[in-house]
Amino acid sequence: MKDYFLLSFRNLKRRGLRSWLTVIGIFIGIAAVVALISLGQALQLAISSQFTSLEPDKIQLKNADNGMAPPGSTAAKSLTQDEIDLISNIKYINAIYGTYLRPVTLNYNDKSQFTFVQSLPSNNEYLELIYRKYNKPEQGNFLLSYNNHRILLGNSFLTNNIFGKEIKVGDNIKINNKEFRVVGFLEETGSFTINQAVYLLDVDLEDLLNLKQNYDLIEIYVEDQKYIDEVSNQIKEIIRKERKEEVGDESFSIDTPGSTLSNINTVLIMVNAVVIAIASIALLIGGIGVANTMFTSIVERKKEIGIMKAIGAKNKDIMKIFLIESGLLGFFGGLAGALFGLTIAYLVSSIARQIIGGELFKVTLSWPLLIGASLFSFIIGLIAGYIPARQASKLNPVQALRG
Amino acid sequence: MILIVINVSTIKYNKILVNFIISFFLKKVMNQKEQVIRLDNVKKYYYLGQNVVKALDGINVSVNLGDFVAIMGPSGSGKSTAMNMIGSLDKPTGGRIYLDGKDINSFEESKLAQLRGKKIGFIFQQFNLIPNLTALENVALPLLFQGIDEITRIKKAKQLLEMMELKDRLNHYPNQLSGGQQQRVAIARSLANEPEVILADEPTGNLDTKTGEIVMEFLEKMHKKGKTIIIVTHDPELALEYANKIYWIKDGKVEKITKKQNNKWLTIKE
Repeated sequence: MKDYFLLSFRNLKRRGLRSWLTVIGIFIGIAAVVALISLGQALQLAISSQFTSLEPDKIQLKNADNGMAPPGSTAAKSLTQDEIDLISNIKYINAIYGTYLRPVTLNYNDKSQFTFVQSLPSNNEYLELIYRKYNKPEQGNFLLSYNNHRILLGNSFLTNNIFGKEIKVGDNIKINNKEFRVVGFLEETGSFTINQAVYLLDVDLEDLLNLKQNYDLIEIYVEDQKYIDEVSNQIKEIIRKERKEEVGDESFSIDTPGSTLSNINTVLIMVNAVVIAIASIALLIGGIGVANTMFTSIVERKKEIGIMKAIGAKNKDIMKIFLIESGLLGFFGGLAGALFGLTIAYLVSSIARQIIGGELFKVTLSWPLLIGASLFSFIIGLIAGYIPARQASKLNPVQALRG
Repeated sequence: MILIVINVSTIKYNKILVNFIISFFLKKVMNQKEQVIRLDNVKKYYYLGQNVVKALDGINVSVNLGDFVAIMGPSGSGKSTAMNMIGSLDKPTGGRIYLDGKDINSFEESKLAQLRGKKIGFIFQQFNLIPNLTALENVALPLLFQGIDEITRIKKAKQLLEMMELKDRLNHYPNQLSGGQQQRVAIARSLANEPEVILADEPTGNLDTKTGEIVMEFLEKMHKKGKTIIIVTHDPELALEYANKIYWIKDGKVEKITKKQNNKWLTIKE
């Protein structure tokens, strides 16, 4: 078998550029698939590692959104303290508090920046739960329940020079023209919303914006993540009853780590489906290209086939030579495409990292993908080459020798 | 006691001796008549619309082991078709072809290909080497199709090329070789499977007189070593010089058969 591979490889080499031009279809198809699969894998990894870095025991209750903005911030209705009180009667709840998520203007170094601020509960036990996911602040301290008029900033305030001047712990930043002192910076996370977050105590935000316990989100921690489903179902029931709503017609929604992850996976699966559809068209065209090359090759090498038959080649042998040849065409097209696709994915992810920030979105060389893609294109080559190879093998030796 | 034993043993020896003598003679008789290839009333008709082209119209050819046969004829006489039949590259539309006494019609494709590769070595006018293989690989190729392992193949191919005085050309590609060298590679290739028959189609047709002679000398050498040689040619001088039996083909028929006996050419009948 090895000898037949060698023989076929020689033939491909001899025909040089012409061989390789025909596999462009396979090249493009595989490049697209590999690029998008590796990007998808990187994205999935980034997202799921973000979620595992988040809390598996946390439930978020928000009102139905009516736009694209941070969760809860554009909801029609607010969540009330009464609802919090109702929910807190449920068993297995460890902590429950309301959160504000509001647009404000930051001002520092005479430069303004529009952003969202998020409130933290004025309760050190709750804060401890929230800070679990960080090792320690990158700089300064965490915000604690007695840190009034203080703010805690996400990591990108350290790395991105937003205000044209470096912010230091202890500096004052104006929020809606009121001064707040920076207590610390969070370490970098995979979530760019956290990296860009501005945190302050809920009481401060209520003062600042004149809010009256009409929250944007209610966050609930359960005693153990195994109670997540049970508790979230009970919350649904209670709020539905409270708001007198039917099943499937709720004005609120509940996010659990699982539900969010599965939503993202659904989107990724859809993206993958579209990519695979496009790629299969490219691969089909590639396959037809390979078949076409093999047909021309037979015409060109008719005489050679005749010679080989005269010196004892069986139909089976000729078939083998041509099949391996078309398989190799596919294989090399696929291998080159896979490498190219990986390069593209790598470039895209590194550009994305620079734009969005964060270190999690990283494309890595996946050997199974590389080998799988090459083998798959080898098989495409084999399939495309089958009919030409059969034709070659069935040639009458005398006619073939005539050339 | 001793006498009896001696008696018994002499009887035994006598028996063995007689057997040996008989089988020796039988073999000798058989050898003289052993046919490698026989064409029996072979016809090849092509149908072009209403017309029938009779490329071969019932020819009989028999080639015995050790013969040097020439198939002679002008172009269009059907000698090439005859060669294809002799080489079992093509099947006739009528009549029978026997290779080693077996009707080739009874073989399926793969069996016939294998048999052809083993029994017959081909030499062509255009040399017909595979261009992207080296001289060594070209010579080793027929062995590959017989399923012979690589080490044996290379060893054998080297030997043959050495015999063809091409020791220093092993790794040259056909386009790096002269016509004469290419034809010698082709001869080496034809010998790879140690076939009984070498079938050469106008082996000197593409060579100048001198290199043509060298090539023919190699074929003659092979003949002396016991190979059966069949050449197809339009050149009567070549046929008369080297062959010992000539089939003169004209219009798809055997016009006459001449045979060299005691350095004289006699017309014979079969």
